[in-house]
Order: sequence, then structure tokens, then C-alpha cells
Amino acid sequence: MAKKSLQRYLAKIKKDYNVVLTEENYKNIILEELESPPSLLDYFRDYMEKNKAKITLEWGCLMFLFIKADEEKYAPGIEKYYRLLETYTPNWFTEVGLAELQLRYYGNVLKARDGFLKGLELKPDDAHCHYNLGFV
Amino acid sequence: MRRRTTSRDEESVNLGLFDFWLPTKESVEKVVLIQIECNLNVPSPELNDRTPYEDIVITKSASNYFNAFPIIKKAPTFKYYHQMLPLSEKEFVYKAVYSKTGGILNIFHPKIRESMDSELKKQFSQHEDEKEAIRIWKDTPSELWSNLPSKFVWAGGGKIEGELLLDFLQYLTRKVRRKEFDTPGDSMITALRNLREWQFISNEICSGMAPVDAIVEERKEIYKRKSAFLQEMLIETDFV
Repeated sequence: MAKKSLQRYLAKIKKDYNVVLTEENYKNIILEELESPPSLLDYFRDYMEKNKAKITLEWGCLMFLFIKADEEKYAPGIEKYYRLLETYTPNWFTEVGLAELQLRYYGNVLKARDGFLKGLELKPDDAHCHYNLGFV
Repeated sequence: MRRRTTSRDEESVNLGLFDFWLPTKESVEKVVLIQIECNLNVPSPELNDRTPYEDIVITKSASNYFNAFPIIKKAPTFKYYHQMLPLSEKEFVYKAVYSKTGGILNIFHPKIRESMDSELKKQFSQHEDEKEAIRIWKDTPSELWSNLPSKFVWAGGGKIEGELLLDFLQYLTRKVRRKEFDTPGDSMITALRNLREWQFISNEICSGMAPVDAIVEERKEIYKRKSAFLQEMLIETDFV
């Protein structure tokens, strides 16, 4: 069953973005997709190292699709891939991505606040979260 | 963001002579409740210089207040007065804070529930004595209430905050005139951004103070007056 969904994610990524994710390249591709800032790349290198026993190619696919949905500001995609990623250790990018969605799409101030607080737990001293918490 | 369906659309509210723009139905209702909270803390000669709040606590009824200001009964907002008054015993326990609006600074925040209050949870977990936990909690600035401590949320606003509310609504309405929004979040952020901007701009209504400072100052005074009054009445409350 899980394999079936992995095949589906891989096919979607290939079809929609012309990218082939494999066991060997998915970590690098995620880092490439995140692009910058350097502190975010450092954060993800560290995250992937600490969770190497838990993260899989499926995680790579879901992260890739989350990043794309976030780039495209596609609300249903952000929510869908966030939910699917919940089985993995939380990370700053998805928590803050969902918080941004709560604030900027739904205008749900308190849900956004909770997301930015989670973001701060995962990446203390993060300026982006502090700014948004001050705002809401 | 690409828009899906939404159930929370922008709203306008008519308060007397003006039409105001607000981002959600919830915030329209909040404006009415903030006005009521502020009105309850303004002393008036019609009530022997007591505030409506004090009169209602003393008489255990809102009749004096409604008779002194018959216009309230005819106003479309009367149902909200009716829901809030007379004040019950619940008004004096810590949970009362979750029935308050938090005033202008929290005008765009949804209703706060006890389960969201992590500061209260923290204090309860750190102190065996519940009263001690509440004593610390009520004085601690809360993120849930734009940094107001719970005791000032419970106390409510007064005359100045009531006037500032109308000033802010005019300010916001001017700023968003003819603006189009793609999503509820877009209109909410615009409203919040304007609130955070307005609250720091020196304002004649409060003698040149920034509204945020004037609101806190006034709530401090209202809290002092309320505390003294309840002590005089020998009414026990978690907030004093």
C-alpha cells in the first residue's frame, strides 16, 4: 500500500516537475529546492542527519511536493502534504509554511500563532517567527 | 494564494453616522461587545457617579442602567447587553477573562478559550496552590491578548478606549477604501497591519499618547477602581 503511494508521488513529481527522485538523490534535491537562506540549508542538513533513521524516499517526495505547493501558494496542496508529513518528525519549514497559510490565506490569527510558536521551538531565535508573532 | 471557498467574508458595520469596514463577521460582533464593555466602566451622574458595572453588582440587576439610558433598549445591539447582563457570580472567577473581548488591541482575534491559555497551564503545573497560580497568571502579560495581562482584559476598557475604537474604525475604513482582497487572510492581514500601525501613532483623543499606552493606562485605572469596589463590597474575586 505504502509502496503504491510512493510510486504515485514519484510519478507526479516526474510528470509535473520533470524531476526524478531516487534514494540516492532526494536529500540533495530537497536542499536544492529550498535554495536559501544558508541558515535554512544548515537547519535541513542537521534535520536530515538527526532523523536519518526515520526519513525515507517517501518523506523526500512529500517534502518536495510541499515545497512546490508552498512556492505556488497552492493552499490545498500545502494542507495535504503537511498532513501527510505529520507521520515524520516535525520540521521548521512545514510548520511555518502552514502557519503562513493560516494567516495569509484564512486569516486565522490564533492557528497561525500556534504554528509560529512551533516554528520557534524547532528553530529558536528564528527572526521570521519572531516577526510574525509580534504582528499577530 | 489561490482561493478556495470561504465562509468568512468581509463585513461592514454601521455605528451611528458612519459605515465601517471590518474583515470578518466575528470582528463586527466584537466591536459591539467592546463598546458595551467600555460603556460599563464609565461613571455617570444618572447612576450617582457609579459605573454601570458597579450599579449592576450592587443591585444585582441591569434595570437601573437600562432605565437611566433608555436608548440602549431601543438599539439593535440591545440583545448583546441582554446576553452580558446582569453579571453573575462567574464574573469574579478567573474563567471570566475568556468571556471578555480584550478590547481594540485584540479586535481581530477569535474567541479565546481556557484550553488555549498555555500560561495558565504552566502556572497550574508549577504551583500546587491554585490561588497562587492564578495570582501570578493574572499579572503576567499574555500573548493571547496582545501582551495585556489577564487582569486588564478582565477589567475592560473605558471612555478613552471607546473613543479610540471609533477612531480606529475610521482609520481602517479610510485605509482600505476601494481595496480588493483575494482571500480572507489578505483582508485580515491588512486589518491587523493597520491596527499595529495605528496603535503606535500619537493620538489627540488620548492627549498625544500612543493608543496602545493610553489603553493600558486606562485599563490600569479601571482595574484599580474595580478592585477597590469589589473589596469594599466584600466580594471575593480571583482578580484582586
